Amino acid sequence: MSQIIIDSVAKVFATSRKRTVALNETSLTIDDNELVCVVGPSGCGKTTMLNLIAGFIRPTVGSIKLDGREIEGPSAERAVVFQADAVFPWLTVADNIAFGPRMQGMTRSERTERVERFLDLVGLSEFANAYPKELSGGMRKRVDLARAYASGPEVLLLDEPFGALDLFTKEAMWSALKRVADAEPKTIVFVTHDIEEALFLGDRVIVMTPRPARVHSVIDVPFGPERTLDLRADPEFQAIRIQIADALREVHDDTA
Amino acid sequence: MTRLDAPTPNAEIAVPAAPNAPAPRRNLGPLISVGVVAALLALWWAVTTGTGAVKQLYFPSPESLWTAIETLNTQLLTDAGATLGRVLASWVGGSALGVAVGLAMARTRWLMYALNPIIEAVRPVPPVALIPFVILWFGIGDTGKLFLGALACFMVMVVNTTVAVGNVPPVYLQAARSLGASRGHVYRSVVLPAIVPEILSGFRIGSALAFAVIVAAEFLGADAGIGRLIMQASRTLNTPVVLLGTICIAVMAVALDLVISRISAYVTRWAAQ
Repeated sequence: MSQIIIDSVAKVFATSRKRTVALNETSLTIDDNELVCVVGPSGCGKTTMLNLIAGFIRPTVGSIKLDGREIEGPSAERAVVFQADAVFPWLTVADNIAFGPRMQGMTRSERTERVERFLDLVGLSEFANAYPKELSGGMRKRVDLARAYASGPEVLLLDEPFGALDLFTKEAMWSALKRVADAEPKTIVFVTHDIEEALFLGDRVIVMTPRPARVHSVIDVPFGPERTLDLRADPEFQAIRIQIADALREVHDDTA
Repeated sequence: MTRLDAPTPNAEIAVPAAPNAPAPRRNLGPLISVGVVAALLALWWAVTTGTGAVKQLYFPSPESLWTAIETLNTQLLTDAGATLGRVLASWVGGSALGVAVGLAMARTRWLMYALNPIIEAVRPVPPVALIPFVILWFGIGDTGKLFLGALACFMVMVVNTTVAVGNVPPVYLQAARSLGASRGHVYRSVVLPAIVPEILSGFRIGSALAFAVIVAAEFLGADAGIGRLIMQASRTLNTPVVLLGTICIAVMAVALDLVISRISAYVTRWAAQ
C-alpha cells in the first residue's frame, strides 16, 4: 500500500520583501499504484506540490501522509526524476542505476541483477559502461528513470521529466515509462504542462490553477491501461484534451 | 622569457578543442605550433650568432648557452633538482591542506565565517611580499621557502574548493537524497566526485604559482636552486647562465603541468568538454 493523502496543504514562501503563496488549500488523495498527472501553467505550484511530497520542503499548513505516516524529509521511499539532468556524470550508466541499491546496502549480486533488469527495461543494456556524456538527452532521461525505479521506491515523483525533449523522444519516453511501470507498478505523481502527455499517461489528471495555486478539477481518464500512441487520434481523447485546455485558458484569462 | 618553450603544449591542447573548427585546421594546428617555435629558434640564432645584431650581454647566443650547460654540468641538475624538490613539497603540502580546509569551510558555516575574512585579506597579497617576515621567522633555510610556496598553493586551493562545493548542482544533492543517501553519503558519493575537475584545475594553477614563489625565494639565498643560480650569474653579468636558468624553470614547469593535465584528463574522463 502506498497511498498519499494531501490534507488542506498550503505553502507560503516568505522573504523580508514579500509573501508568495505557492500552494493554497490543496487536498488530494492518490491511491496505491495510481499514475496521477498534475497539469497547470508554469508558476501554478505543481513543482511545489511535488517538492512537498518529496520532502524537500515542508508545508506551511496542513499535512501530507504516505501510508498514514507524515512526510518529514526526503527518503528512498519517494524517488524523484527532475526536469534538469540529474544523472551523475562521474558514474557510468550501470553505476548510476546501482546508486540507490548501493545506498540501501544491497549486496553486489542483488545490485547487478537490478541494474541489468532496469537497463533492459529502458533499452540501454548496450550502454551499461558508457558515461552519461556519451548519451543523448533522451537516453540520459531513461537512465534517470531507471535509477529512480531501481532504488525500489514506493512512490515515484516526476517533475516535468520530459519537458526538455523533442516530441519523438518524448513519445519514446512515454513508452519506456509505461513499460517500466507495467513491470513494477508504483504510485506515480507526474507533473507536466503537456496536456496530451498527462492524458496519455495518467489514470487521473489534476488540473491546477495559478494564484491562488490550488486544484481546479480532477479528471478521471477513461481509457484503461492498454494505450497506444494512436489513442491521441481518438475523438474522446481530443474532447477531453480541449476540455482541459479550456479550463486552463479560463484560469489563465482570469489571472492575466 | 619562457616564450621559447611555452607555446608547444598549450597550443597542442587549445587548437583541436576549438569548437566547430573546420577539419583541415585540426591537422594544421600542431604544424603551426612547431613552425612558430622553429622560426623563433632560427630568429634567435640569426640575431645573435648569425648577424651579431644583438650583443651577447643583452641576449646570449645558442652556442653560449651550450657552453654554459657544459660548464655547469651536474651543478645544473643539482640546482634544478633542489628547486623542483621544493616546488613539489610545498605544492603537495599546501594544496592538500588547502583542500582540507576548503572542504571543512564549505561544510561548517561557523568555520566559513571565522576563516573567510582572514583568507580574503591574505589572498590578494603576493606571497613574495612576505619574504622579509619569512626570513625573520624561519631564517634563510628551506623552511621559509617551503612555507611561502605552500602558502600560495593553500590560498588557491581553499578558495577553489569552497567555490567548487558551491557549484555542485543542487539537483544532484536532491536526487541523491531521494535515492536514499544519508547526508554523509551525499558528501562522499556526490559532493567529492563532483568537485574533482575544479580541484584538479586548481592544482595546475597552484603548481605554476609554486614555481614563481620558490624561485623568487631562492633569489634571497639558498644553498642550491635555480633562483640562486640565476642570482649568482646576474652578479657577474653571466647572461647565458641567467637565460639557461629561466629555460630550466620553463621546462620543469611545463613538464609538471603536462603530468598534472594528463592525469586529470584521465581522472575526469567522464566530464563533458
